Amino acid sequence: MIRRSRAVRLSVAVLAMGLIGAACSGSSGGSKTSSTGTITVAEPSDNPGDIQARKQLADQFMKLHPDISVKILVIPAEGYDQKVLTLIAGGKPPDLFVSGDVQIPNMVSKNYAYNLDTFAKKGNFDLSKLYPQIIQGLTFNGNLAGLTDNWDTQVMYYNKSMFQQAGVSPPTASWTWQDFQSAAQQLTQGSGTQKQYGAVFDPWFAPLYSTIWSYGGNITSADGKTCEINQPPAIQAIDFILNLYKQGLSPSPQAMSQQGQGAEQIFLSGRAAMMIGSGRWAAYDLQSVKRFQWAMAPLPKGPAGRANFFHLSMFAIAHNSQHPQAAWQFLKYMLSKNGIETTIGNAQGLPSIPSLVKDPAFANSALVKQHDTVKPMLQSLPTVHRAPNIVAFNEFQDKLDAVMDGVWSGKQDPKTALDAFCKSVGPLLQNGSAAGA
Amino acid sequence: MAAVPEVGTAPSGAGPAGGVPAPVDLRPPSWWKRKGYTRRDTVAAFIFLAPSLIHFMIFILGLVVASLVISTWQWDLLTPPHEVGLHNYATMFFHDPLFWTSLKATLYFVLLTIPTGIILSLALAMAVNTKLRGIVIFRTAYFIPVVSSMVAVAVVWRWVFNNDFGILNWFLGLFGVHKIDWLGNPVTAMPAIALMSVWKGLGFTMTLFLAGLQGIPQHLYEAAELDGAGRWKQFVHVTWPLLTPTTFFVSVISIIGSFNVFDAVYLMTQGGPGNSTTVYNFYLFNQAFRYFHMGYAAAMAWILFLIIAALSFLQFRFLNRRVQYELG
Amino acid sequence: MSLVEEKQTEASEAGPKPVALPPRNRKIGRKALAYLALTLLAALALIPFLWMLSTSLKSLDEVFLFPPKWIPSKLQFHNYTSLWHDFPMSTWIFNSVKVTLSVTIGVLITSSMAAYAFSRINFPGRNILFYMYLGALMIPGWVMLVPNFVLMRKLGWIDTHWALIIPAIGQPFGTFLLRQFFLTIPKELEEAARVDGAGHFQIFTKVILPLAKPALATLFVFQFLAIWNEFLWPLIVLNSPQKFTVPLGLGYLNTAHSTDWTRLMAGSVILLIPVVILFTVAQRYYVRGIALTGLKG
Repeated sequence: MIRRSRAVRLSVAVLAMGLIGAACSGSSGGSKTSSTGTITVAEPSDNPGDIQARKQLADQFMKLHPDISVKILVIPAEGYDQKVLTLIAGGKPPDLFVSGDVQIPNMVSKNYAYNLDTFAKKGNFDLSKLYPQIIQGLTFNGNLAGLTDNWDTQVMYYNKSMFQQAGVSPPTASWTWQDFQSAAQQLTQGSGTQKQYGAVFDPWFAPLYSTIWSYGGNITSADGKTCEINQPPAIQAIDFILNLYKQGLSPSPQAMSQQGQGAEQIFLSGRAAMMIGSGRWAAYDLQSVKRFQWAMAPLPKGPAGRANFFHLSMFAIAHNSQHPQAAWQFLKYMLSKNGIETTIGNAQGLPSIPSLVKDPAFANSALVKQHDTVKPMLQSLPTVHRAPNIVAFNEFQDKLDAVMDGVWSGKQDPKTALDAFCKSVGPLLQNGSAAGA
Repeated sequence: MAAVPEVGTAPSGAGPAGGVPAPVDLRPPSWWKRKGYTRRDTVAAFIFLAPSLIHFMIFILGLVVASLVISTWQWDLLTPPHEVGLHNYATMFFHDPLFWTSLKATLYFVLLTIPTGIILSLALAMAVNTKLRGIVIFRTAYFIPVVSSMVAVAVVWRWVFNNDFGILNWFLGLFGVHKIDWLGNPVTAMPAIALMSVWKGLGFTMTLFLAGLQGIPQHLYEAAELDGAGRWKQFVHVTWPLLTPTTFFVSVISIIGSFNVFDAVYLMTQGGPGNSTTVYNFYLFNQAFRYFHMGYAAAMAWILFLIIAALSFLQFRFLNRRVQYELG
Repeated sequence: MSLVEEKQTEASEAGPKPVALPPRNRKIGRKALAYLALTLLAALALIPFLWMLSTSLKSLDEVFLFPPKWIPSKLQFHNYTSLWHDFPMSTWIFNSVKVTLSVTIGVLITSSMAAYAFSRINFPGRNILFYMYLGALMIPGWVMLVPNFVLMRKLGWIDTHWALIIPAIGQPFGTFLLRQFFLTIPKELEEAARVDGAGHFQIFTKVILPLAKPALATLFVFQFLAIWNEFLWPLIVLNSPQKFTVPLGLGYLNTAHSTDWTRLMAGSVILLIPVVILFTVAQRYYVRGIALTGLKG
């Protein structure tokens, strides 16, 4: 989900709104093919870097294709997915729109985006030049819902300085959740406002699901029809997280909301030694930190190995777009070597095309040179786990969030709460909606 | 609603049988003469009515009917609708616990706001109902919250309720009360929103009470005073009984207003924490524009309509009887 | 209700006679007490707004002081200017003004015309139509929400200001309010004009409308405030920030930048300025209209 996964970059996000209308307006002269006209590209407002890069991309694209003009439509990140859907349902679709991994089952089953597979076949576009995991992650029921020039996943951040001071050996790629917990115990010190937490674990769905998967659990069955988050492995994973709060190793979600500070702010201010809950995007905010050294590591392993939520913020073509061909041209350009080089310096994740990881445009960007934000990502690539196949994801997640509020605050026992939850979402998963026939 | 009986007494003297539709025949029928209708007037009337009436037919009547039809569909706006009959209503009542949760949350909100609102606004009206210099300035002050946008109000009340540096915790801290995370705690979130709503609506209900108070004949107080009744007795025996229609009226309006609560929840808690402030309309909104269940949302809106219609009807009945009682 | 309404206007100027004359010193004591109570309550009503104003001029550090600091040590006007810099504030204000005035004027036109027909012309079907209008007052707007969205979509008005203006320019409430007032205008005035050969149109524009200025003002104030403050419907039909109204823009800031307190408060002040001005100038009309709003479901 885009809103949540990037919500942390709000500090600079305000700039984005200033860019509205700064969209490019090239000539829309010649009309030799059907792929002419003005295309609108919808983007959430909370990632100014992306928007800036996309604008550059659009400028270059329009030089190559003077018959197509590209307009960037910045939509408030809050409720972004709903807004885009409203525009599509309302008959005013953006031609291309950014969407998130969790929306794919809904997109495909409601058929509101083109299957890009057919475009690729017709246009002789070789999909195999992208990481196979990406194509798999973007495909649902044989439909390629979107394409992306970069990928991201859940990772762990740690405060190197704190580890050194406490003489605790830093995380490695073979760490387990037990290693994580014992390190957190060693690093938790002090109390009150001076307290230093061993870790800060933000239990929103991406890290929560990652942990559940690493314990061998599931959110739903593979077909998305049966709720399995109340099964023993999932409960064990939840108990593990809950214990971090109970033992005071991590601030609880309640404590975070009371202080009005997110996990990232707590980590940034040097009050926690490790942070779980972000992807590579967090590195952008962390790079300005001078007070301590930090590093990135893959998520710890669970009893069933490592599992890390696969963040894919992709572009899709609206099914009722007036200029699908022109939109495809833009998408193709975005995925060309030239296109990726333009945007990758600012992208939240790693380039979608393996060879471009070594490309100077990427390898020489500040974030890659000064902090190792590539190796832990590549170590995590084999264990990326795609979002669950839930068609009514928003509704499912809203209900789950409400239940988990009670669980994290200790008011409700996980097993009881999730048994009731699974019972209540039964019809939703079966029919795609609570109001289903 | 009080105005309904006046319809028949319009100065131009419309008869009670005015509901007969206009004829298509070019010549006016004979009964037109009896009623004093002329073709010239009728044509003029419909020209004057046209903009409003056409709008009414489309945007009220048309939409209400459409809403009823949509409520029997299962429709996500993206794929063609399915006709499902009363299925949405059945789901709501028997298979959707959140529907009941949201209804209960709304009733809780009503319960929190109405008695407090009534008592406070009556007290305020009695305080303002005096001949004091500068009273208009005070009334203006009480009104600023009423006319202010909920968006601005929500912003500032998020600060009032802020756990760390909000004024409410600061104030309670003076009495040694520990900090409370008003909007972040499922127990206090709803009372917090209710408190804000009462504060915002007070000036409005106060004005209604003021009108009621000023409708009480002075001689009744004078008589009571002669009988040796003190302030409290005057209130119990004169003010309160004579104010009953107003109180009832204010209650119904406030309840209806409380059933419509949405902006405050959307802007301050988004229904959380843990659905504790998921009121009916917030859930309805989510069903329609977050989950895209148009049929279900329309059905929910109809249930809301029935609840509000029942309340309005109750009030109408009561006021009618009251009026008759007083005349007889 | 019309009775209440008339009472209201005289009340706001004078208030009733005191009940009886208590001894002089007791009276003074009571007055002082009344003032004290009134001031306390006024303070309660206004404190949040004072805080809004003060915070809008603070630096971010001062916002987080506890206990709260009421007077900023240095006035930070850039909280306001940066709103203009980072957001299309001028566009939002322009949109709000455009939509609010269009709707308000539209409502005045449709309502006054319909009210004229209902109050001054005798025609078949009048009562049944009027009852329909009254009945419509009880329908919660939520019933129309979904079909209205569907209609806007059919018309291609999603993400346009038409969707805010056209569905709002008819108001049974406005018709009702004006009709009640028109009924109080003596019939003789109209008949005099008729003798001079005036038709309905002349009577409407030359006799009724000039006399109905207070009622039109009441409706104007009501509509203006209602539309200016509207949040839900714009939230549903508008998507691109260039189309936003001020409440929607601020609502967006409220959720997306929830800790950007100084600028949120500055935005709130901007949103409130027209409201406070209009209300202070036209308080009389607004208060008069309240007695009638109870009819609005």
